[in-house]
Amino acid sequence: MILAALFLGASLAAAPRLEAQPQQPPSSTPQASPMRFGAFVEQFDDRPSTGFVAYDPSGQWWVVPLGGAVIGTESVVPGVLSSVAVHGVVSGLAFDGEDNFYLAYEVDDRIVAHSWYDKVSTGLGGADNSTHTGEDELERGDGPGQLHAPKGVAVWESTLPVHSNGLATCVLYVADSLNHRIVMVAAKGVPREYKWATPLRTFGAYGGGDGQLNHPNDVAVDARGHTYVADLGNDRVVEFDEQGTFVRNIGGRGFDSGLFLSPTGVDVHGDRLYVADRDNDRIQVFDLEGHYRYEWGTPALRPREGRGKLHGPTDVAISPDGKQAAVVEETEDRVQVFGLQPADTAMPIVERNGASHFGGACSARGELFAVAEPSLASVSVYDVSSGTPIEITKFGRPGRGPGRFLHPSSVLFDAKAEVLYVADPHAYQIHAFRITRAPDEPLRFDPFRARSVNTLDLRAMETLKAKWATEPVGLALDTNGDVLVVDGANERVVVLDASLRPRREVRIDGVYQPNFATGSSRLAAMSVDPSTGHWFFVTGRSGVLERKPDGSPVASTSWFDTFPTQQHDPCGITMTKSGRPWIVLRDGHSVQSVGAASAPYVPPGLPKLLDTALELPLSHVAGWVSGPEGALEKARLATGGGYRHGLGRLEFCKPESLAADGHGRVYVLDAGNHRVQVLDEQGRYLDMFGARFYTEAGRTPPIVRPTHAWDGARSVRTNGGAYRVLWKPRARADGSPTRIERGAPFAIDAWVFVVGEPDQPTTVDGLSIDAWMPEHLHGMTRVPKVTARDDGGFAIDGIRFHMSGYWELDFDVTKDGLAERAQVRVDVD
Amino acid sequence: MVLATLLALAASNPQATTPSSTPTTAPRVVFDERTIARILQHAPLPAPPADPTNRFADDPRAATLGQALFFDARLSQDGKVSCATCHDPARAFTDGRAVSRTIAPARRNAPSLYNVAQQRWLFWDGRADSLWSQALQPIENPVEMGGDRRRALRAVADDAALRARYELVFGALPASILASNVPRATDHPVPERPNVDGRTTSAAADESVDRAFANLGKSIAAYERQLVSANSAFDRFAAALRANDLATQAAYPDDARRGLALFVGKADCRLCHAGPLFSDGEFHDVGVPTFADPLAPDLEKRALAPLRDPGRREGVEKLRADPFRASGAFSDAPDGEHARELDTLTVGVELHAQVRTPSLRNVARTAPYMHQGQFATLDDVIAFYSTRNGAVPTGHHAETVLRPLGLTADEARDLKAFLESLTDESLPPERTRAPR
Repeated sequence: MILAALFLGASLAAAPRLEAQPQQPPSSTPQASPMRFGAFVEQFDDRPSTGFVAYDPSGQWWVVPLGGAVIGTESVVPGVLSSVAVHGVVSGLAFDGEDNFYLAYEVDDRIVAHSWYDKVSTGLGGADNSTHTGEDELERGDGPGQLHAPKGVAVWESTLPVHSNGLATCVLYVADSLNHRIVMVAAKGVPREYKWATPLRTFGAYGGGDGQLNHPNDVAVDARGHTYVADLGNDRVVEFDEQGTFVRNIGGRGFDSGLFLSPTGVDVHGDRLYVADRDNDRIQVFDLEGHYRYEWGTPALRPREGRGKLHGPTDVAISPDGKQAAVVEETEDRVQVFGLQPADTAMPIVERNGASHFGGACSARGELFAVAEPSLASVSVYDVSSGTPIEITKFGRPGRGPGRFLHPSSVLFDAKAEVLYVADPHAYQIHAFRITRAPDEPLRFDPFRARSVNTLDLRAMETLKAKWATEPVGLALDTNGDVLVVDGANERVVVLDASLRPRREVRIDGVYQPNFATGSSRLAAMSVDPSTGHWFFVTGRSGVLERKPDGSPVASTSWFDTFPTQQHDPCGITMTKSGRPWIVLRDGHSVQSVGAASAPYVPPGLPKLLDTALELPLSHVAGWVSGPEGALEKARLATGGGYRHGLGRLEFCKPESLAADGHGRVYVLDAGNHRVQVLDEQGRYLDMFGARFYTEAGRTPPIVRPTHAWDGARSVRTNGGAYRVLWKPRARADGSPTRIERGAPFAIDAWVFVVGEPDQPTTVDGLSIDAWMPEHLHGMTRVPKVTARDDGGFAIDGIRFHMSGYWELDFDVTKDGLAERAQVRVDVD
Repeated sequence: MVLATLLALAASNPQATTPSSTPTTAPRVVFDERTIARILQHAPLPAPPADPTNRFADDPRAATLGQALFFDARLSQDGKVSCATCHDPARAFTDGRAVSRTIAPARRNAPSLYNVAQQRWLFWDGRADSLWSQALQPIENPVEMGGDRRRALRAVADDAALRARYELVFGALPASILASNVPRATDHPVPERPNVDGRTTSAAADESVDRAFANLGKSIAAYERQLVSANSAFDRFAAALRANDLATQAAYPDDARRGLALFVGKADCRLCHAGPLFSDGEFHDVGVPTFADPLAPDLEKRALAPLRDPGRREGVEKLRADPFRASGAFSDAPDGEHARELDTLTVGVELHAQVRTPSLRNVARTAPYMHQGQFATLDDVIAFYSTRNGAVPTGHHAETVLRPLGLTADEARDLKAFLESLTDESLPPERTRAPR
């Protein structure tokens, strides 16, 4: 129950061990080979955190666990941090050179400065809430000095005044993630004496261009005042100068050195920039001109490997003396400390693959099961009818628009398992794909199976405008087939029809409570009880909410006193056949059903928690991860938390989503173990599948080349059914007829008609054309140029299929923010 | 030396030169209709496409000037390096090295110039979009010829024959070149670091100098357009196949036939090595690692470079910044189709590490292979595609079109025999030396 709010790094213990490391060369070594980080020093297991790490001026590292009503333990280091209470979800943290540290409260949308010598009672929150209202706080908003989901923070102590007031020499930078910007505030002196609400400057705006940001996750600052932003949604680091002017982009999406897959954390020390390249399982190091220098980290091929191997490092911090690097692996609840080694130490080439993370979110319906892979910008669909999950398609490519994803993090089947909806909060888009299968078709992989039907751009849809851009964090299917979109930013549900046209919005009040004592919450996921039609939500703080479809409350759990739910990050919910919601606790490494097994869930009131894991025989408990954290796990078990961190059956590592398929099976996305576990509705283990080394048996379905031929259509209906696209290849300049052949550029003229109105081309906002080789995972090397014709049609120039094989030629018709795709398959030989 | 040894080995390899151990009674390879259609896509090689950006492309007088310039080392910084240094006609217009080394080690392998006029994009990273603009870059590249445009033009001005040839085609040289203050001897320091595009710029921008410099490139391109190789054993076989000429077809060895069937079938080499050029002219990443020092004598010690060659990703950016691009002021068709193509190119990190598909014509003569000469022999290349051993891991993007082919030893030999049948160096001797 009582946990340290800030996990203190055992750096004091680690320092002498660093010197004792055999790979540390004697200090008399000539400077021929400069020193680089990479030498494994020590690892600290059972350090759950929100993924940020920072060193204090004395050289100790700190991480913050997923917060909540947690009171700090007695001081570990006498005279320094006596105790700190953290109420709410703290993401970033930073220390200045004096006695202050700064915590970013992600859900409460504020930054709080603490003095190291403050006592809890005056330092923050809790019983003395009144001391932290008004000018000390940054409230949620997008105005000057307001924040929305602040993430990483950084402190810059300048030797010169950095503001016209002549006073500010210590600046706090905040990665204001859902405002897609960086906020600078002066932070000199005792924090509460300063008016937080007056930012020195803000810079950045949503987008993918120069100087734009997409969900900035962390920020670091160098001695010049240049900031380096972990631009998570754009897979790059963006450098700004001290005025907030764009300087350069560093990296981009990819796995090669110098590129990133989900850069989540940055730090600057001296003339080096350190980037936690989360989904490439490494730390990359750059100079301050953006040139790649080196990297360290070997991906862990087996779970819990550690000992210098990295699994999803989310942040890196360099100690003040520059001799240690602390790397936090949020997925593994772990911190590893690295030391310096000679630069000429060979870096082994390592295999960085694995077909899938099995991370993100899942949906199940009938015989189909789908997984969204946010960091891979793809969605996989499995057929489970044979008992062995067969991957029958995988689709998605990086980008925006139909068929493209930036961060697909929710999936949802319709009632017939024919349409799969995908929500992408980084692109602010909802997609609908039709999963095509012939009734008697043998099970096989077919990259053409998913047909893009509609794509809704939530930022462009006027009727959905709210204070914040609609942030699609979850999807659910209403009993009438409507698609329910959980808008995490605006605390509402956006109701779309099956074609993604907006119907209405429903406010879900009472989630965001700007109360510093109890902290706020966020809608995370949603499911619908088919028998009552009630909506169930899982939220960070209050657990489960039950609402009527008009949003009116029915019941809610309130676990605040009995169980630190928010500390365990409930993030997924599904309704089982028995009408009981199951939730998945990411940081609790467990799955729970709400309501007693012997009695149905009875609203209202305080439901009893049933931990399905508790029904397991004790032999499983013995099989848990052993070591010093074992005691902690058992303590949590006593609280009813059902902490099941591990690799065995019914053990989990950061499960992120779950889905009941309506046939009594529940799929649990065991993301940290790179696998899916299948349970029955009594919580019994049925099966698991996933990446090699993480499952009992690797199952790689064979890829069968499809036997499609070009359908030769000249008039093709959009997959959504609203339009018909009439197209014809344009004759070449020399008058020769146009055939579509490899390597030869060609042009197309196209007209869009509303179905049923064949006489007159309709006016649309745009027609774009794209082409893609699903088997090769690439498209064209040209971007065709589309111009409007006088007759209401479009002229499309510069199409070239440069390789033999199967191509999809896609016409995307956009009107009012909703795009529909018409597809033609072309077999180029 | 290395190349010669390799060739000697190849020549002494009975598998490579005879139909091998296959008994003559074995049935001949029979191609089905689809395979024949695919084979015929690779021949005949048409004449080089017109280059509207260079109105001198097919001017024989320009070609003669270009041929003289191609072999003229006075264009270089130290007077020792000509185009032909790295594009040696005796080595199928390559230098036989992993990466070129003249003034300093270059970053990439010197490709053959046979049929180079067929390429839409030049250099491994496609940073030039015309043959004539390509020809200009090595002259000023500090690690290649290390010269600059004024000195190169001065070299032309100082040679009466060259000057006459130039003025016959292009008119008078710029006045600023003819003035005496242009340095004749170079004083460039040798650069410390290889810099593939560290082009020297003239101190004072002089449009007439740039235009005259472009003319040098256009004349070199006119010469290079003549470097055609289109009459290999395979070409003769394909022509006979097309004409149903069984007698001529019979001269094509069985192992090459089997290799051809692999090439257009199971091995699917044709996906990228497409068409009569055996190249789609586009850019791909086949996962070849980048060596830090490709010239290291010991293969085992060729450490991997910390960064892979960014290839086309940088190539597009450089092309867009090149004043001599097809849409630039010195192009003769700045609004032409090819010039406009530049605006439609995809850009971004998805181009990272992609390099241009090399033509396979004369491939048996152009070792070592890949953009850094990573593979010494064709056997190594075939083994790479067969096993994918040593390929750069592709992160989580495991599904690509490249999977281990799993060729048997016989199949690998057959494929090699086919590749060797693409050799044709019947270029007239007068094209392989400076004009008289």
